[in-house]
This record gives sequence, structure tokens and C-alpha cells, in this order.
Amino acid sequence: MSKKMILTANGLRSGAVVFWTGSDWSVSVAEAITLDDPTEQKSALAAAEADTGRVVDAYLALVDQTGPTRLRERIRTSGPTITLPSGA
Amino acid sequence: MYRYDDFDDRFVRARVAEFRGQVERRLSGELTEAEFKPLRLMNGLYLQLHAYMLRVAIPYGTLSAVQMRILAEIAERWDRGYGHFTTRQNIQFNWPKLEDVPDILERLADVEMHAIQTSGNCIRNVTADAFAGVAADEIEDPRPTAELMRQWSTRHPEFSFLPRKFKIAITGSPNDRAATKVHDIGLRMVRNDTGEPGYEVAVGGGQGRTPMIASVVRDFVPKDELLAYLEAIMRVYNLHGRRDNKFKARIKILVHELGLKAFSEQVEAAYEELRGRVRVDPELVRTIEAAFAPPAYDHLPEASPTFGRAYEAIPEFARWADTNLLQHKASGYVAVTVSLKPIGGIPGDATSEQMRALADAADRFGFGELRVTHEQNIVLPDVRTDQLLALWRHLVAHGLDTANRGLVTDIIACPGMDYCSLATARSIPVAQAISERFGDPDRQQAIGPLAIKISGCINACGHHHVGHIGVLGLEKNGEEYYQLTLGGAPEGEAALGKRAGPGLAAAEVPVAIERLVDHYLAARADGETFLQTYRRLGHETFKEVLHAVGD
Repeated sequence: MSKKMILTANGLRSGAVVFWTGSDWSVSVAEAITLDDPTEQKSALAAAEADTGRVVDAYLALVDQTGPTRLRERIRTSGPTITLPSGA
Repeated sequence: MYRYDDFDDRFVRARVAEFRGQVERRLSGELTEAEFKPLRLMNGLYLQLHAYMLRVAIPYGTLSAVQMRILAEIAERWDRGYGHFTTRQNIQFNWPKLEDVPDILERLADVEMHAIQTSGNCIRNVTADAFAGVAADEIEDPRPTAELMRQWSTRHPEFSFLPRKFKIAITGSPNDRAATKVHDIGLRMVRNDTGEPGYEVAVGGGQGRTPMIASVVRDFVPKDELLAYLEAIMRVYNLHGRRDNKFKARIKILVHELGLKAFSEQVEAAYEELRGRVRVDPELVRTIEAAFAPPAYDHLPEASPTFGRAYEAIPEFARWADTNLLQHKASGYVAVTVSLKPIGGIPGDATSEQMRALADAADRFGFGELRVTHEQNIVLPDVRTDQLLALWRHLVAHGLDTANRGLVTDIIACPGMDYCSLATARSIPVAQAISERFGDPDRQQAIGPLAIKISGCINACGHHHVGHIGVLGLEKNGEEYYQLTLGGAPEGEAALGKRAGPGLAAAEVPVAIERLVDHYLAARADGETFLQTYRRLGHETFKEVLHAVGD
């Protein structure tokens, strides 16, 4: 069975973490589409890498029903696990 | 403090204008990311886990109150209201937007600051003893030499494309507070037989995946020949440093592979050739030295009745004074460490409000100068002893009065996986948990000097190799785990920590450290520090204590 992936990157202007919704980039992981098919994953990644006017450092991240599986990706999705000093 | 001359000002402003153009071209699509990335890195702009990160240079850790206020303003206007002071004596802003960065750099240029030499394979911002110029044990202020090295290394064509990044640390004191032995070049001021001050030069130290203690290549280099000698080292490194393998490209690998003798011979040969040619205009040297002339200290008695009364009356003040002060060159003055390690806080972080409070303190209780330490604290270098109580009250009002310099909660920690794209594990929450566990001030005092240093990956930005107790965060099968090292030390008889015990879960780290501390407390001789007890009893006895963790 193929692995489920989401496509993520950082916004060029803001640097913010963004996710591919199928038609656009969103800062909300809830709007990310899950890509099941390896061919589909590959072509989505290639398109994202070519989308250099909007995003940088695009890559595919493994997900399950609860979201990204790796801790790094979970932190990247939810933000720092600590309370920021200014409460920001 | 050194003030920019016209050349410095024009150079920095030209760099800002150049980068503004590069950002515009990137945003318009004229530059690809591959083209732009090296340009942004040359201006200190990284892309981290959640956002861009701007690393601003604080040359040799010295900054003015005016500069500190601008850092506070930048944090507020263009970031999220705080900054992170690093083990390289720099400050990092974690949330800038690319399109704002030229404006941030412009604002920095207004106060003679920039983000050059904070990234890339160049000579990075030189670090120095945070107590330079004021410590009672110092031979001479090393900052004129550090400033000279800044001018010499910036945009030097031979040093712009080195095999790898290059870090120089300098101290004017025999007591090394700048961790010089874990730098590519470590400079320690010494006197020769005739009493002339110069530098002992050590090469090939460093942390990261291949930690090494630097070897002394020359016992004494006269001050006026130092640049020639450094240039000789850089020439040998440029010629023979490995460019084919990033992991073997640091000068420590070259020194190790060539052997100290062969390396030293090559440096000496280059030095012979360069020593007559690389000369600095004595007028320039005098100008720089004058910029670091001591301020106009009042003639004060050593003891202050005001201080003495407050010390007797206010236990919290007495505790802080016992912990956070360092003896000053000038009678009636002390150097104060302001801890950025509140119990349970984030090591090295300061809010804009705190930065302004620090700037105000530097103006009210000093000569408008501050220092950043490589332990991620701030130093107010020139405080009158009779004003310490007023300063302490000011610090209390801003949450900056933690009395823990050099104690178990004065933890160095890198940003770790909460921010850093290279990290394999989190550092900050581990530091916070240890800090909470040992938060009781009486207990901290009873334990005495103990340096815990935490890195979230093998690159060792948190200096774990030289922690008395080092903590290295790693990842296996998607889970964080932590490896402890024991017996490291950046100062004195510098040493690298040795691995101890199995990998630990994050929650087990404070428990493990507590067992080590309890073992030390039970075994220590009178007046012995953790490190001294460790060295006396040996690694194995401490290592055995860790095997019980998790049982």
C-alpha cells in the first residue's frame, strides 16, 4: 500500500509553513490534501519546486489519520512546543 | 566602544542597498532560490523550521545601550517581541518576513550593526571574553585586537570562500572565559619573558560531530605580528583544507591529519614570508585602542557601606550578589551578570521590554555598555558597588534578577527542534524541566558551580561537549532521545565530555542529572566542585549511577 503524503513548503515572502490544498497554498494543515499515489506525489512535488515565486523548500511529509507522523513535522505544523517569551 | 568610521558606514549601508536589490529581484522572480540562497546567507538570513531567522552580529559580544534599544525595536516592529541571544554572542530573530529584512538591516545600520559574517564559509563574528576590559584578572583588553580582526577579515578576498566556516575566540585573561580551546583559532593573551603582552595561538579546536581541543601552535606572537601569523594559518588552511567533504573541511581535521608538527612548520614558513608584509598602520591601531580606553571611573573605596547594609538586610539581594558579580579592575566597581535563565524559562531569550530594561540599566548604572556572554547571559560591565541595590531592584521589576550565574540552572541550550531545521530533538523543554527540578535557590547554592549544556543535534550549538554535564538530543525511529556526556569543560584544563549511560527519554533527563548531582554531593570533599569530584573519582563511578535511571 502506498504511503500517504502531504505537500508542504515555506512561503517565499513570509517564510511561514504552508500546505498544498490541491489548488493553492494554505497556512492551515487542515486544508492540505492527502496524496496517496506515488505518481501524483511526484508530480505535485515537481510542480511545487517549480513554483519558486511563491514557495521555497517544498517536500512531501508522511501523514496518518492524525496528521504528520514525524515529530519534526508535527512541530513544524503546530509551531514551537514551548510558550514563547512574549506570549506571541 | 569602537565607533564606525566613514568607511565602515559606507560599506554596511552599501551592503544593505545591495541586499535590498537582491530581495527585490528574488521576489520579482529575476533570481531563483538557488541563486538567492547564498546571497541571503551572506546577510545572516536563514530559513528555519517555521520561518526565516535573522542572525545579527554582535562583534566580540559588546553592544551599546542605543544598539540594545534598536534590537528591542526590531523585535517589536518586525518580529514577535523577543530575541534569542546565542552561544556565539549574537542575537537571532526567529520570525522576520523576507520582504522586511532590508528594512531591518537598514535600521541596524543606523546603529552600526549588521548581519554579515554570521553565516557561510567565512571568518565568523569574532567572540571574546564577555568581561574584556573590566575583569580584574586580565592582562589587557583583547577587544582592540578583536576589532582589528573584524576589519581584517570582513570581505577579505582570501577568506570569503574558505573550505568551511571559521571561528576565532579571544581572551585577554589567563582564566579563559571565552572557550578559546574549542574554536578554530583560540587566542589567549600572555606575556613573554620580557613582560611584553602578546598571544598564545591555539588551532584546531571545535565541537560538532568531531569534537577536538585546540593545540597550541605558537606560545607567543607579538601583538603587532598577530595578523601576519593568522594570515599564515588561513593560507595553509585555504591551500590544504578539505573542500571535497563537508564533514572533514574544518581546520581541526587538517591539523589532525597533517599532524601538529607538519601543520606548524607550514604555518611558520608562511609566517616568515608574511610577517614583514602584513603590517597594520600604527595610527589605525592607536585609533582602535583609544576607542576601548577605560571610561572615566570615579575613585571609590573598595567597600561600600550602602552595599554592606543591603547585603545584611535583604537575603535575596545577598544571594544575587554572591552569585552574579565578578571582580572589577577598578576599585568600587563590579561586573554584573544579568541572567537570561529564569527558572523554567527559555535560555537566552529576552523580550523587547527586557532589552529596553537592560539598556536603561546600562545607562543608569554604567557607561551605556553591555556584553553578551557565550553562556547566553548579559553583562553590565561597570556597576558601582554602592548602586548594586538600586540595580537589583530595577532587575527585579523586569524579571531579570535570577541568581544563578554558573549554577545548575544557568543552562546553555540551543533552539533545538522547536525552531531549528537541523535539529534532531528539542533542547528548550529539556532545559526548562531541569531548571524547574533544580529551581530551589538554596539547593542550587549547595550544589555549587555546575555547567549543563544542551544541544538538539550533533552540530553542538549548545556546547554539550564542554558541559560538566552535556546533553545531546538525537532521534531514533521518530522518537527523541538524549545522550549524556560527563566531564567536559571549556575553561582551564579544557576537556571534552565522555559519553555516559544509555540513551534517555526526555522525561528521564532531569532524573538522571539529579542522580549524578546526588552522587557528587555524597562523595565530594570539602569545597570540591562537581567537575573536581568527577575528575577525582573518575568517569566510571558517575556512569554507573546512570544505569539505574529508568529502573
